[in-house]
Amino acid sequence: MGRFEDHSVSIIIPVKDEWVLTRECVARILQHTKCKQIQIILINNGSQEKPPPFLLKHPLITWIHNQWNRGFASATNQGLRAATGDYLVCLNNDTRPGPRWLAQLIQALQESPQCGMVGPVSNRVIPEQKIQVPSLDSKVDIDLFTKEYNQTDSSKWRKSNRLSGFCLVFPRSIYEEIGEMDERYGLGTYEDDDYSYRVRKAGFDCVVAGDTYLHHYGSQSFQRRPYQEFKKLLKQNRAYFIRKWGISPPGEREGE
Amino acid sequence: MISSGKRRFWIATHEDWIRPSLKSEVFSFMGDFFKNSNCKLVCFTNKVLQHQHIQYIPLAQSERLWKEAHAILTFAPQETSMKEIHSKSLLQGIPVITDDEGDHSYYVNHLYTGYVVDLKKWRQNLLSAVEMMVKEPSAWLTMRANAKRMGKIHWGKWDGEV
Repeated sequence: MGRFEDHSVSIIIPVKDEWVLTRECVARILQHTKCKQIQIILINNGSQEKPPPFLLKHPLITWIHNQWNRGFASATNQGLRAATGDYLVCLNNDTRPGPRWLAQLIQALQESPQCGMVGPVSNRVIPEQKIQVPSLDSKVDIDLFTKEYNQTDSSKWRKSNRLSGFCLVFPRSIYEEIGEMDERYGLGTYEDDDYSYRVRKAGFDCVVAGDTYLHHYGSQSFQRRPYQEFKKLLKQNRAYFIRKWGISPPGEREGE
Repeated sequence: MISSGKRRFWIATHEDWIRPSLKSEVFSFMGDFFKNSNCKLVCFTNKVLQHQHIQYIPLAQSERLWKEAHAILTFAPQETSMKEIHSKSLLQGIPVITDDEGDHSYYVNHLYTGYVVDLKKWRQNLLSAVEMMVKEPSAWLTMRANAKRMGKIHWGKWDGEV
């Protein structure tokens, strides 16, 4: 427990190219994360393009360079191993953090000992975390909306069967108890369902912090390949989840 | 037909790795596809088969040669377990092109350690798989590296799953 300002956080961001988005994400983290110690871990997951000097030279960034794309779970695990913070954040690089984003998410974790993992609401995310947002045509619009939206309100916190991997926040103790992400999900998809399920199976809650908005530009990394290929990934990883746990991924709806 | 430029690329298969109902069609299709290119399909077999542009190599040489393949192709009958073949292949860092029936895709992660073919669209899928591996060397190298890594991490742990 304690104030957010007294804690250290490690924010883990796997990146494959997309350095413009990543730079924006990191700049927003630095601007809006006011805690005792912040560690940003960038996992360069086989990018063809060179990272910009601003990121390469930043003292708060821990770098992990992979020669090839090791997939989302594997890269995240590398980050988790390097993390030193009291709280660990797995974050997509195509997000735009705003005021109080992390303070509020961590508050949700602190105020309930049962809460094991928390995630925000967003514009592009699974239905459990999705909210209707007005037309946000510019970064100014996004920032204004985020600033107005992010007012601490515990009545908006709600349990969920699953949380999206675009932003997952959990205390170090949960990582130590649950372990790493399952790398059998390969390139990605369903590793977040798997982790959510493991957190709940261990007796903790997954909580959507309905008072915290995090803008998500949305799946950039899979857009290079035809949608049919992405559908195959989903099908294969869903089948693996079912084989592993003997149940359908909790929370999924018809047609997902 | 596929152009691979100067890059040589060969895919290994085996007489038992392709289901009988598809064998002739697959070989004809791959033969046409690889005509006049630096790519080829090599089939390990002792049978006398005749398909243009497919190279047939006696089984006695398969153990030595398959490890040098750029990828392996398996469309085995649904009831045939491919866990040993696929696990060995991944351990060697050889991406696997396979179908999604039986246990065939259990050890192969689509676009990560290989390519999973939807058998209903096998021609189209096979083209996509080969084109990706031949024309995007970085995609093939990524599959190769992940195959080796996953093979090492999970070798011996997969047996109990099926």
